[in-house]
Amino acid sequence: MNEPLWRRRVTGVWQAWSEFWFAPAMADTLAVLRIGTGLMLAYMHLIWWMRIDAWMGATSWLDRHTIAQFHSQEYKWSWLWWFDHPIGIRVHQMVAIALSLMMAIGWKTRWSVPLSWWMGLMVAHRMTGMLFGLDQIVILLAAYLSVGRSGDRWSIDSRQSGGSLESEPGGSWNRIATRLIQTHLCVIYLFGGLGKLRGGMWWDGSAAWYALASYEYQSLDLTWLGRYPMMVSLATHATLFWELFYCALVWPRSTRPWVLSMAMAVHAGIAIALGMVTFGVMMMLANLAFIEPEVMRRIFRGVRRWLAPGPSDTATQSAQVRR
Amino acid sequence: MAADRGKGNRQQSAAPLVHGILSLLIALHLAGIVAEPLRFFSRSPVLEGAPYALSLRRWVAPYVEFFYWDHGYFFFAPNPGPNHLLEVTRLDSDPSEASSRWPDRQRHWPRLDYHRHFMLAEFYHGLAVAPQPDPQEAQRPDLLARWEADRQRFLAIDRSIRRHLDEELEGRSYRLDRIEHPLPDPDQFFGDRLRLDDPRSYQVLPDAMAPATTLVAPGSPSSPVMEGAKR
Repeated sequence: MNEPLWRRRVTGVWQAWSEFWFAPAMADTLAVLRIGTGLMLAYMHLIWWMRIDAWMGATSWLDRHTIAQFHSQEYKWSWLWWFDHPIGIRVHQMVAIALSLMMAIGWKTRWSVPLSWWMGLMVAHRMTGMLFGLDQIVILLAAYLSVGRSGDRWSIDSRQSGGSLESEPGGSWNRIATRLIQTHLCVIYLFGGLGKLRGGMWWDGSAAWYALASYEYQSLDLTWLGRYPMMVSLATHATLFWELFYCALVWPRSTRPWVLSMAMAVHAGIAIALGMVTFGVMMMLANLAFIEPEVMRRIFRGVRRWLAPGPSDTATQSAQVRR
Repeated sequence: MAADRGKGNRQQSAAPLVHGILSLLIALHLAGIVAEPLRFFSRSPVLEGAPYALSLRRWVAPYVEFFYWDHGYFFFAPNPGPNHLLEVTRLDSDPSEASSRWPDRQRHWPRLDYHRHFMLAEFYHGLAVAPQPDPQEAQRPDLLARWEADRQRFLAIDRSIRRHLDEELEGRSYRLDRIEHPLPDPDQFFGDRLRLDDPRSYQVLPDAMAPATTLVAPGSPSSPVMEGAKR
């Protein structure tokens, strides 16, 4: 009652911080991210597998000794620096694919998720030189999903528990994992935007044109947009401002739908027009971290009802038809 | 009942301590994930980054490097720039079938496979260092040492790529070039009706590999030896 003002303020800040990071949360959103990330990890390992000798073999493009030497001044390490035997690398990738699929279907998630992340990390440190944003976002998501209990929903684990996991209110670890993904996304977009501020093309509005005119990236020809410089410059500045202010505007409920819609549009554009479907999909998936688990649960319940109407829904529909 | 209450009380009293420890770990992690973007963003022609950012990056290096958090997130920044490819020209075959490029939309499929090859070509280009230091570098020992280290780094990557090509081409002689594909501005594209993949728009970059020779830089303690050059 008679607490000094400073103490009340400190307590208030601490309570807000604790609420932000540690309030229990259900696993619905994380489960969606787990399924998407697991499938993408499996696909990435499969693509390495297709030319496994050229990527990881003894005479690969960048052999293991070269990569180990390349990182000798850094704290990077991969056990794939130790072997390049054809059988060894194939077994490694088979295990990695199996773990990623286990992660996706939610089987033994308490260890299949961290192990999938670890296998992804080992491959990333081996495959230096061939990586891009996709690897960054997938490993980031797998790392944070290892913290939460994403297997409590839409998983083999939850089925095997007879639904008891699904009815649990969730724990602080789910909240921590979600917040880590959200804050990391804010860091990515903030520095993505700040980086663009260093370039003149993002200031004069021509950057979108040069992205569209990049033949090696292009998967859909949108160069006709170049005939409309107003539109191109508007798209450039919209992207720039969205990236810069994402970290602030994604938190208030009133602006969040707009910011997330813009994220979906930008990443869908990158996926469709710039040939980076995998990266675009994963960025869209990561943005779903801002959808509350309760909302996600309602969405999926609606989808489930729509796909397989229950007896009560069928009765309602029949009544509507009769009317 | 009493036991449950006791357990609940213990959990409640432990929560601030656990939350405190977790908060500290979260704060350290957040410092880690901003360290590399801060350093990368704040670099200039004079400094490698803002001094505080460099210091932070050094402190968190083991954590961010091992766990793959060391990214600058400069997607299409500071500007969308030219693309780079690798071209291998076989010197002993019919000229019409002599060259192949990495990446190649036809050969490298699915798209992720194409992108892996594309990144390899960009990586190789990004590391390329001229075979001789420029005059300014040659006069300053610190710049010269740096040029030499960068050159050695590039040569190690180059040797590995050549070993791979040697095997793929079964020992035939070839030339490896870096190709630059600049982005056309709207005037070039619409005015000159230049196709995006017009062969004239691809430029072979010089000094992809100097002739096999021993380079001795003035004042240099060692001399990098070019290996595997097959020009």
